[in-house]
Amino acid sequence: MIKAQYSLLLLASLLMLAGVLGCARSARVTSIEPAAASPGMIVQVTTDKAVFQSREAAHVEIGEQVAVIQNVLSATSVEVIVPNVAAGEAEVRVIERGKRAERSSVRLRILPARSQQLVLSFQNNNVSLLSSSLRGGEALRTAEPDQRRLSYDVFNEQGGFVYSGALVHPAYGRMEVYDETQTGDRVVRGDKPHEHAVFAVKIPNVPGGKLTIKFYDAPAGVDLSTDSGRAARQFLNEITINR
Amino acid sequence: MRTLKFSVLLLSLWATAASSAVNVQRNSDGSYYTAVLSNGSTSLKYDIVFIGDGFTSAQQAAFNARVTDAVAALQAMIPYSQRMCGLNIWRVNVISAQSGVDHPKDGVFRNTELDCRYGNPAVGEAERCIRSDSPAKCYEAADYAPDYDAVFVLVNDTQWGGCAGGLVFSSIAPGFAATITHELGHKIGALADEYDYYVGDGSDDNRTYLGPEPGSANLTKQTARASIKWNALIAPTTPLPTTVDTPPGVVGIWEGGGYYRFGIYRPQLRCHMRSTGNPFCAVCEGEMRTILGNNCTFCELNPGSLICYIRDWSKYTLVWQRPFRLRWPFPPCLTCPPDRLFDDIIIVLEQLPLGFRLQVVDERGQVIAESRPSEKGLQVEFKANRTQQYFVEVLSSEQATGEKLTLAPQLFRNGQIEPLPE
Repeated sequence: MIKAQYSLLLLASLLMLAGVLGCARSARVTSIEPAAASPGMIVQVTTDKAVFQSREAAHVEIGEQVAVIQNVLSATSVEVIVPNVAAGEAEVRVIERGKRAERSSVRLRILPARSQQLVLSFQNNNVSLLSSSLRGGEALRTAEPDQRRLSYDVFNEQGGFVYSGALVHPAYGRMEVYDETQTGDRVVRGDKPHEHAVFAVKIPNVPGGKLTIKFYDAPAGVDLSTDSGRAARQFLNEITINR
Repeated sequence: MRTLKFSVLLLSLWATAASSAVNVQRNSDGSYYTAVLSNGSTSLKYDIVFIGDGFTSAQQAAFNARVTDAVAALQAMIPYSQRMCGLNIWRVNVISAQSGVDHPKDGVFRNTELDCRYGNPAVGEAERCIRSDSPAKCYEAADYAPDYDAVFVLVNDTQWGGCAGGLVFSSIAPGFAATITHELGHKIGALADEYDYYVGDGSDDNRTYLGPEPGSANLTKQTARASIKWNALIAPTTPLPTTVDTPPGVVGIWEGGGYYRFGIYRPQLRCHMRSTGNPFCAVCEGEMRTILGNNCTFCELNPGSLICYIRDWSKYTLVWQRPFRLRWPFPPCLTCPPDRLFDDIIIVLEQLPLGFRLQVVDERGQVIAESRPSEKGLQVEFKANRTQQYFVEVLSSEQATGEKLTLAPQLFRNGQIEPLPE
């Protein structure tokens, strides 16, 4: 009789424990679409529990970095932005407020980032690298052709020419000053840029371990898509990025 | 002793790293940025980041409100208002120790995170030209966002001022958003300035342009009608060069622009690229609309289109009437390796009734590929340049039969079948 009582007590305890653990269990990710994505892309994450009643109720992590929710599609499904994590397999987890996160068997295949953002410094006719980070967006080539520009060519590990871009010269191109609040004709005017400039350029994420970028001073008005325009550039220096 | 030295070294290294890191607010979800306007993958959109300087921890709501003002200004101005779908806007909340920024002219100095200040006339700087003495920190702050194509730094000061180079700085004085709408004209549309002086102090007001034909869309040195870039917008009766703006808004060639008074022409008398109190002229507006539109999907541009309601092609049956024409945008390659410009595309449509055909048109409306029958059904093949946008069309001929049509296209990119986006 006593044995039976103990068994019942034990069973009840186990049930309570299971209940407590069950309540505390965080939602599991059941699917991610598409299964492969590069940083900056939007992916749809679906869970086995209704946890997205609001944007604040839970958040998603991809590769241990927060993937910001872009859209709540339903209580079990959200669209998130893939954070800037390294290429490869990344775990996708849902973190509910006040609950421990469960390990997830669903993984996102992180594709190589599409581009690389470089922060550069220009001083004494020399360009140097301050930082670089991988990005999901496209490299942009837009530069005002009527301005003096800083042109750059990107070469891969084998020395192959893979990309060319230009931006308004950070030290000799246009810089604008916003002078007045009135809507007169002289609200905006040009000013001499600073000789020491810090600026950013985005280049394609070229496969391989080493990257060389050659910088040139390009006069205003020359067409950099032609051989003669490119020949009119003056070489400044080159930098090498080892990854 | 050695361990102690190593620990001291580690500690000093950590301290250096910690002191150089930008103080950025962490959101409740653990992220360091906020999506103000998120329209899609960063690979498809133009990404703008707002960061602030001189906003203390307690003033972050004020910074958020100014960003909202800037976005509202974009939403109120054509063509941004019609092409917001091309933009992603991110916000990174930078926390400064003190409120406001430096005014060297007045001997006012503040301890702010991004070291922004007004210009110092004592050393020849324009006072209105706001800048940062630590521009690398501005980029470091912007780096917290998923991506950035333009970085705008709003400083917590109501004295008018703004300055734009690679980074764009602006105070939060009323009307500050005009700095943003003008600078995006340069950054997105590669539009040239249309004002006809540079320094603007009277020393360079009467210069004559002697250079080559400007490359930007909104300036020309041509005076012969057929050679003018925006000839299609000029009425045959408009005199060239143009000097009379009646009724207001005449498109012609108006002398002055690109920092020169003579020998160079702009499309209209008034334009946002000449003076920020004006809307964009027709040429600048068109250029911006086209470029921003390239960052929008077909359904973002045509949300009322039938095609945008269709979630699952394999289940959808159309009841059609002659002539039938259905068009949808060819999906961009989101997962392709970045090292090739062209993709080999095959689109197959099975079960099409007799008399239907399939074709691909480019963004100018030119048919670049037509279908041929295959064992699977109708098949069209083409080489897709990743910088171009394409549309797939299904059309009926006079001989088309039936009344119902089920579409279940299959897409093969570089030999691999690819699920079509919903």
